[in-house]
Amino acid sequence: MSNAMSTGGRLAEDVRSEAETNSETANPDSPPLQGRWLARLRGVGVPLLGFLVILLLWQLLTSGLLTDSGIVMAFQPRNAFRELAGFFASGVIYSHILASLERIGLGLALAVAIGVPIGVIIGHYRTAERASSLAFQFTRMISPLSWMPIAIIVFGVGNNPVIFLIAIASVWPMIINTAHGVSSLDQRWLRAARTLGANEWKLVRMVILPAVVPDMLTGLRLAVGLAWVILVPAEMLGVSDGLGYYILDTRDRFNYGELMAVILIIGVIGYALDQLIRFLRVHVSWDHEER
Amino acid sequence: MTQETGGTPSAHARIVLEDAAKVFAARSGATVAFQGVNLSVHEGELLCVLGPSGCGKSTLLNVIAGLDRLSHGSVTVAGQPVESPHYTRGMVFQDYALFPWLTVEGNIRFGLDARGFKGDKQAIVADLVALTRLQGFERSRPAQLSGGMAQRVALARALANQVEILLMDEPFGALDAFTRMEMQEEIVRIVKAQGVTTVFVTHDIDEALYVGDRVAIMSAHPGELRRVIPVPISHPRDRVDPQLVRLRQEVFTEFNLAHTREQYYHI
Ligand SMILES: Nc1ncnc2c1ncn2[C@@H]1O[C@H](COP(=O)(O)OP(=O)(O)OP(=O)(O)O)[C@@H](O)[C@H]1O
Ligand SMILES: [Mg+2]
Repeated sequence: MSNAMSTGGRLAEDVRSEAETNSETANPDSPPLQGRWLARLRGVGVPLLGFLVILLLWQLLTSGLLTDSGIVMAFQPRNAFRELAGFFASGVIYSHILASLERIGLGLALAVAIGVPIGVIIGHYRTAERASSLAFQFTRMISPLSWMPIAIIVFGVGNNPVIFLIAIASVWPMIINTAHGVSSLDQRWLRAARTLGANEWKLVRMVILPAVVPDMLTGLRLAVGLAWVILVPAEMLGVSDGLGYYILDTRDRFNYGELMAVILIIGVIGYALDQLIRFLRVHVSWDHEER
Repeated sequence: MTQETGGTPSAHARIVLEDAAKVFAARSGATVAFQGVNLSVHEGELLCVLGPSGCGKSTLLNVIAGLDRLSHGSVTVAGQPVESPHYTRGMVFQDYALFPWLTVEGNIRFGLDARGFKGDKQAIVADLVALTRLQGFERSRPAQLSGGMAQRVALARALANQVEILLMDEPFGALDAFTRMEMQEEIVRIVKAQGVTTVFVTHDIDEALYVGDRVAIMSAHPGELRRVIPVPISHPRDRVDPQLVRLRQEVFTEFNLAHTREQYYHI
């Protein structure tokens, strides 16, 4: 638990430090216009530089400098970008992206639907927390992919085992972060709500759930990261579309340019999903004003 | 203690505590929050409970609210024993305890929503916004409010349930002197306008004498009710009213006496 929690904590700090950086740039006392532009340029430029270095390495490693193997040279960036353009020109990739996003969406929805109530119960009742902690620590450390054979036996071949694996991977951060939010909830809110006429159910619905939205979003951000990582290997078994499937497909067709193009797409979508949740965490969550 | 502490239940008594004691049991030993408290609060009265930190004032309010149970004795409201919180007994907490994810309006409406109130909620909220002078801040979040404003929201939130009893725990403790005086006038105006029976906890002597119809004086270690002083001055009061100044003297003596007695022992 502490492991995932510290990751959660780090995410929160991340968000906070970002807010600080923003307020810094908006601060009228900070460097004059020219300096501010420089700072902003550095803010965008440095990460971009890092990205360029990666591209350069990629080019170097596949350019034939190290080896003149044809297979290696097929992985060159130029092939990847050519195939990437081809994807969007022909449109073949869209159905695979959609299939993957649908599985991610369903798997995450399942994880939220299961993880939030369990998290609330565990956070609310000490006994529930004590009873479940060992079992959870144990189960959490089992790679979701180990469930693959069982998933296929239980759910058959197709979409369902993939969705199951995504759900099982992403349910832990949802549970742990929700439970943490509930257990560290401000007790005064509960007392106030009780004097205002809230019964147990209204306490959950009107106080506990809204109060832990920020924690749930922190959990969701971790969940999305895990789910997206699990998706690709999960799609390599038993399904005939999706980005994971398509990677194997390109390999079987010896089209390594396309393979690298799919990898690029996976990276970009993963990054976009993460930014989306991050945006929600900062702008939708009620506690952003205090951060 | 033979002194009359307002303990005899009268026909007008709304809240009655009889030989009430609260003891917190802990591993390190038991803490007596208060003991032997006999107190009646009359219908429509504004009773101040005045005492030093740790004399059990908050615990007393929690007991009347139904958030805490007595260890000994009884507490009744309108003749009924208090067993759990009820929406007709509203509480205003020292540090507001507003819900930060709701707007000012959402906070005020909370009790109505929680109870599934079927009437015109919007009208009730609008009335309270006017009563507590929160116009223009309906859509603000608690984090954007000043302390005085947040305390008005907490008050409006409690009043929205059409409470019969209002319990206020050092409501102005966190406010600056000026806002504090302004809020003291406001609270008297509002409470009297609503006709609610109010128990107002404070450790500020001037505040107690300015707002209270009667002032119940408590001492600490162990928490006990020493006496109840009536303040027979009509509202609005003059802060330098000679009668008020005299009562102030009386209260000081009450606290000083306790102090002097202890000092004799030390010398
Ligand atoms: N939940 C609790 N568990 C154990 N002891 C408690 C608890 N609540 C209060 N006490 C103890 O009971 C005594 C009275 O506390 P209480 O909070 O009622 O005092 P108070 O008069 O409101 O003080 P203050 O003016 O500082 O708010 C204190 O000694 C306190 O430590
Ligand atoms: Mg207190």
